[in-house]
Amino acid sequence: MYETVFTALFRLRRLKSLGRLGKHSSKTNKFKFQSSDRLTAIRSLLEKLIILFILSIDILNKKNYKMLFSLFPLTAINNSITIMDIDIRELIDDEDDENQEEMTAQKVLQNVEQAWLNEKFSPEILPHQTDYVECLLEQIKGMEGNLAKLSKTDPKVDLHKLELERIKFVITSYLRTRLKKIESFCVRVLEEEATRSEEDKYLSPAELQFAKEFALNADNHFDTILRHMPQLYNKLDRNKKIIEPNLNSFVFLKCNKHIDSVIIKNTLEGQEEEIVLEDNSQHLMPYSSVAEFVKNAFFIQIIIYYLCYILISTPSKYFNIKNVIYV
Amino acid sequence: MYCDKVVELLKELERSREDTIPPYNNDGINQVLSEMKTLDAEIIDFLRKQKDNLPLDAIRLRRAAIERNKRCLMTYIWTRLQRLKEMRWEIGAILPSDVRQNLSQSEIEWFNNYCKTLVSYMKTIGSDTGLNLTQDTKPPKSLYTEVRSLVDAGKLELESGEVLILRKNSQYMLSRSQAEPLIRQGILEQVRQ
Repeated sequence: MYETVFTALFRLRRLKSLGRLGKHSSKTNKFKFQSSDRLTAIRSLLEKLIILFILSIDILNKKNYKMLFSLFPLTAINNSITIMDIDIRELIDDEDDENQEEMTAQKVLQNVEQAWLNEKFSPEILPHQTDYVECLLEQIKGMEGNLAKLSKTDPKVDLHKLELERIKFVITSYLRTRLKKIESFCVRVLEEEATRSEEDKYLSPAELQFAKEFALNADNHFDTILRHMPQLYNKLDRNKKIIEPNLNSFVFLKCNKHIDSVIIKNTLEGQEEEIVLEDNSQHLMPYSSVAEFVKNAFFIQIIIYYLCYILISTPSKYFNIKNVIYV
Repeated sequence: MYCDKVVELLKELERSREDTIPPYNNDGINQVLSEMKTLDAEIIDFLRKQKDNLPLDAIRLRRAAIERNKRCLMTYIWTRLQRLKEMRWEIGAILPSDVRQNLSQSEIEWFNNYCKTLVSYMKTIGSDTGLNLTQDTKPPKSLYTEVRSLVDAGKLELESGEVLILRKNSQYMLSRSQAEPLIRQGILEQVRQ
């Protein structure tokens, strides 16, 4: 039961996020019920009202699933406590099926893993997936609680613990990679972020805060030296300190969904080529061609970041110590 | 020749190992700054004295020298910051005193601010206490790892509540999450199979 509530809520969130991308708008109040017996009808109506109430938490409160976690503690998973004997899936299935995805804990983990790989191998920073990460962290907390209750001699405990460690590694590595990118491309990321609307920010609020403080801190430090330079020269202009990700670097990728047209620009000859990406096919192409599909809802999985792995602590040309000494 | 000193500074930095920070060369930096000032003064002098036929080439040369000095100084600072940043992830918020001695006042300030920013970011992850991103840096292959104690570190309380006494040169099986910070602090050493 718990699992289903969780699933349903995640679907709703999923739908909302799709709606944001302009592909689908979510409606929750579309459901019909057929029932011969009047009493059953009233009963099921009442039940659905309860569920609607729960779902409305979602609309009122963005951190909905956290509330639900406190409502249905994680221990309920195995003990099959039934709170309401109606499947929430029924309610949601009344909506059209195409845009729905199962959002079990397993799926959340998969999404985080995919986001992690893409983040790791793409040259620029991708939209954040804080919802999934936080959800997974909640799950981990619950599982740790459950494990603590089991006896220490149980061989299952160690297996589960190792699995937890692995998940934790994925999460921390994902967030670390993002931080490294923010640090490297600080100026650029902040500039781009300022042009984006509130809903499709790439950074989470906390990351944005981090980026701003980091930039300010670095500027202050540079200023302690720049201050002593002669006038005219005591400023460092943006173009010199900016570090740009190399968007034309090549990536190996696997296509998760059929994409009708991908345009590959040939910068040398100034030509364009249009190709079709088949489901499950693998390609090697410039990142810039597929960037939008990587960003939008897991269309593409990047397998390897192929050329010039210069991502982490890349100096700008201006700061590159080797460039400076050996001219 | 112009710019010699600043290149000397950079070479000194480049020769040192990547995971160390050489002493902050305050004298060197001051010399470079004063060279920049002299060059600037020379340019202004040219402009004042000869209004009709300016020695354009001489001015251009001096300007280029100033720009180069500036660029090199910035590179010097920037490279040091990168190394310092690595240390925050490797060693943690508390720097050993030998590293601390090598830093300038402003660098220590930067480091403290960086720690603050990082910690306040890490606190916001998840719902309550946050998540320490400096942990779990390597993909775990097994839950436990064999370590050797390098010093008499004394009592260590395990996650299970048991207390372990770490003696020099003795080997233990510890859970990875617990051993990792101690390995980084140099108290334990990983035993390679």
